[in-house]
Amino acid sequence: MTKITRRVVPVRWLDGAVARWTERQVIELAPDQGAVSAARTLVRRGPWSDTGSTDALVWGKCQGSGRTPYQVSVDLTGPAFRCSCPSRKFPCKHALALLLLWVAGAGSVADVGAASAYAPEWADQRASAASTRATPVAKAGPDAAAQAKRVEQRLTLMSAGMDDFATWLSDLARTGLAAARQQPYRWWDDTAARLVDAQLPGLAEQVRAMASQVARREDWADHLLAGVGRWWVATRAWADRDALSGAELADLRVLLGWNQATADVRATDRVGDDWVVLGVHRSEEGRIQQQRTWLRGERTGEIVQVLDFAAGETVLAVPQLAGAVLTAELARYPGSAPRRALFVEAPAEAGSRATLPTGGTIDAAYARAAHQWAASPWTERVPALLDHVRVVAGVGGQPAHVQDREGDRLPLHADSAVWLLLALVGGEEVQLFGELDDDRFRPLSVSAHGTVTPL
Amino acid sequence: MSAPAQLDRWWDGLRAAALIGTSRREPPWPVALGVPSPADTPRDQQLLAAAALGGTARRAGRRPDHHAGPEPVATATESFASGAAVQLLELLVHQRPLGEDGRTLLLRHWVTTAEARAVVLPHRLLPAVLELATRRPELRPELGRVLGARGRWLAGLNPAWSWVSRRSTGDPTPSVSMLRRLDPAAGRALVESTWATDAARVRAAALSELTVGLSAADQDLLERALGDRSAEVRAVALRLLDRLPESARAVRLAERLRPLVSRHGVLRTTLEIDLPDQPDPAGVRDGLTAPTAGRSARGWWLHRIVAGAPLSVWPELARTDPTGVARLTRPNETVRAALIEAAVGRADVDWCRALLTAGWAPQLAATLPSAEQQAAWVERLRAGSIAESAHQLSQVAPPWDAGLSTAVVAALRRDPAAGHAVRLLRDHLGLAVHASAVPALQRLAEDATAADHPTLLRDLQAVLRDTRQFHTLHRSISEAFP
Repeated sequence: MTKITRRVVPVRWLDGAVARWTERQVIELAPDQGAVSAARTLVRRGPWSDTGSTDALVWGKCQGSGRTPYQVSVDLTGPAFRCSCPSRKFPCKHALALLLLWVAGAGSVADVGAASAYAPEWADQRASAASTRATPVAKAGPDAAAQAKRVEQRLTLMSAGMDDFATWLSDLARTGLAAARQQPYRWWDDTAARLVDAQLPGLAEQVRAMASQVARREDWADHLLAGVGRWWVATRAWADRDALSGAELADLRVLLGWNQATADVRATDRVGDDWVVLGVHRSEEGRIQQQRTWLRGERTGEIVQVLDFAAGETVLAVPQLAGAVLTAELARYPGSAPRRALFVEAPAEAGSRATLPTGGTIDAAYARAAHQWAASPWTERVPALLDHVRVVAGVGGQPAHVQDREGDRLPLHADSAVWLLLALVGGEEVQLFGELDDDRFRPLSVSAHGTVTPL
Repeated sequence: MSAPAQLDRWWDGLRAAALIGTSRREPPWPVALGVPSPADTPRDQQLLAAAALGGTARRAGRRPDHHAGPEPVATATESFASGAAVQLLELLVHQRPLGEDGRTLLLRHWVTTAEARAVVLPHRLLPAVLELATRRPELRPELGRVLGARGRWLAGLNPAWSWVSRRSTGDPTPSVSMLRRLDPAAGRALVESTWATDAARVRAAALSELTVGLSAADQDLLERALGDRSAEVRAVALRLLDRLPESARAVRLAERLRPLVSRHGVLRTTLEIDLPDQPDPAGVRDGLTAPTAGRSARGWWLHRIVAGAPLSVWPELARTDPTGVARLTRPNETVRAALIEAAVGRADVDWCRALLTAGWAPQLAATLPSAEQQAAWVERLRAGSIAESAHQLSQVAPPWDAGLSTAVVAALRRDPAAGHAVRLLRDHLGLAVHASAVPALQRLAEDATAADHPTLLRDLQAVLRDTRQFHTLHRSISEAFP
């Protein structure tokens, strides 16, 4: 939502032109000192693009924590400020920063930055974020005995919660799905609350999500039946957890919401390589913003995902652009493919690719996904590189889909920006990278005519 | 049965059992999957285990749908707008400087400039621009070429954007209006084809769609509609026939008019216009119906006759040109009002001009071509107060030429009630005022001191800001294309 603020300031006319501004005048407009300091951090090339000015208007785009850069413009005759950021300050730090840049540039704002300018700032942010994340874990007592006791208590709590959940599932099977659908939201929410109390937040989230899906979806019965099946496997797997492999246990922990400590992960299972950024997805789940970055190692061909989270005032790391190549050492979390990873240190820019790595047909993507789903039933989405596909618009209420040379079709996910994708691709054959989520495809990057474009 | 079909059949059975619950039905085990059923487990746990196996098998075993390949689309070589031009476009699309009306004006300027330079829209902005033009039809006319091949192709995929192509894709029954735009005769034939069986409401609606592309060729159908059972249909037919001076009805009304008008005097001619008598049934059919409440019947009938008769009758009867007719009929309010209605309805520029000489009526000015309309307004402003005409003035499409802008500023200066006028015109002045009139506007603002006229000062400053912003953006757009 673009907010507009206007301050009524007498317009000064000097020979027909708006009088030049000074830095002091800009600072006077700021709502408080905090806004000024915040603005000063943005007075550099890095986050800005597409900047320009007339003698009555200054504009530019500033990369912040949102998915797309914030569009900022200042009407110098007012002055009036427009910015698409969610801040409630008038004027926001982006508008102030833009004005400061304009003043510093003596009335013109030079056109700034290509993608490569992002990486150093991104790296700084990640390094500082990583160090703040590592610290709390290190604080968790050097006393091994106390720690072991805590883990023991946790396991007891979780086991009790899983037993409880297994009983709930059995009751559900006995009384029937139709009866479950009649239940109010409260019924699901109570179960979720008990799971949270038992240190099983991941399952709790799934239960709550299922409640709304059962109310909403036409194929709710199939969806719920498959869902309870997966939850049942989780209870059996937990009961038998000593017999699980490392990867299986790790997958189960992800499902249950029992996170691995970053410091532990950082210390093990490292792999260094040149990584191609395949695509990035940003989303908001409630008040938490999440960013998934998919990387593929040039040497190993392995595809991993880097997850970043931000809540409240914290800012997400600047997204890497699709097609960029990073030289970096990653540490991989235990689990099945596609594995989660994190950067051990800031990655180094190593250029970019004109095309995405070779992919395959839709059928091949399904076959690979089949292996991954069979190995880990709780995996939700798997990465897919599709070559030589066209995008076909949906007709008569049907969703849009991609179609490959074999003639196979794959419908697009409901949250895809279909018209933008069609506008960029036209009727041509292109290469797409995205996520295969159940039976839908979520496109994240397009590769055509020697450029890789993020969606 | 194939394995996938078998699996689907079994899953349907499992779902059926799951829906009503295992307390009432035994869940089938997926024997075909080759996993032995867990021994000695209660039914509910068997269902859950079966669901786990089946769910995974279905998900992992899913295969894509197969269809014939789509047609490839030819690519065209076009040059794209770039650099500052695209930045300005993005600003207009996403940030809306100067509000919705200002944005529309500037976008039209952008599109016409782009068309003149033979560049097309960058692909990533196509959906946003198409959305905007769907909401604001004023943007549509010039957009065609600037959309480029990709834009036109894209528009063809979305029914909401079907206005781009002349043919509406995916719409099996073309509407009458659409057809009238391409082939008026075919549109009329469409209306006639179902005339006999359509309900009254439908007939009235279809008939009123003949407004598009109305011509003398439509008069037979309209003549028939005059005798229709439904009053609504008859009213529509009358309204349309008022706009066809060559129709048989118009000629009939001319015959009724002739005996009423007589010319007197030699040195100073006057026109005496009698009121008509009670009309016969034919007259009622031609529109001389019962009057609306509070109106004199004979005055109403005179109005209908004058509004429906051809204007060419008057020079014949008065033995003078349209300007003379306007002068002679000015004292008669009924006749003058009806003449104005006829001239405006038929978009008869000559008669509108002539009637204007005898007195001001904004709808007459609005029918004239833009330059003349603005000149007429300049005359009007010289004579009258701007505060009275402010609302009508806001209907004059921006941008205004230098003459009108200067006249408006001068009128504001003269009028003690200028504050009210500026308040009414505030949103329009910013976009309409010509650059050459801006210094005069500035002086007006300077003279309106904060003490005496605070609201006026504030409004004028807002107008000046908008004007400045509009002109600089307008100029920047012109300069942004190489």
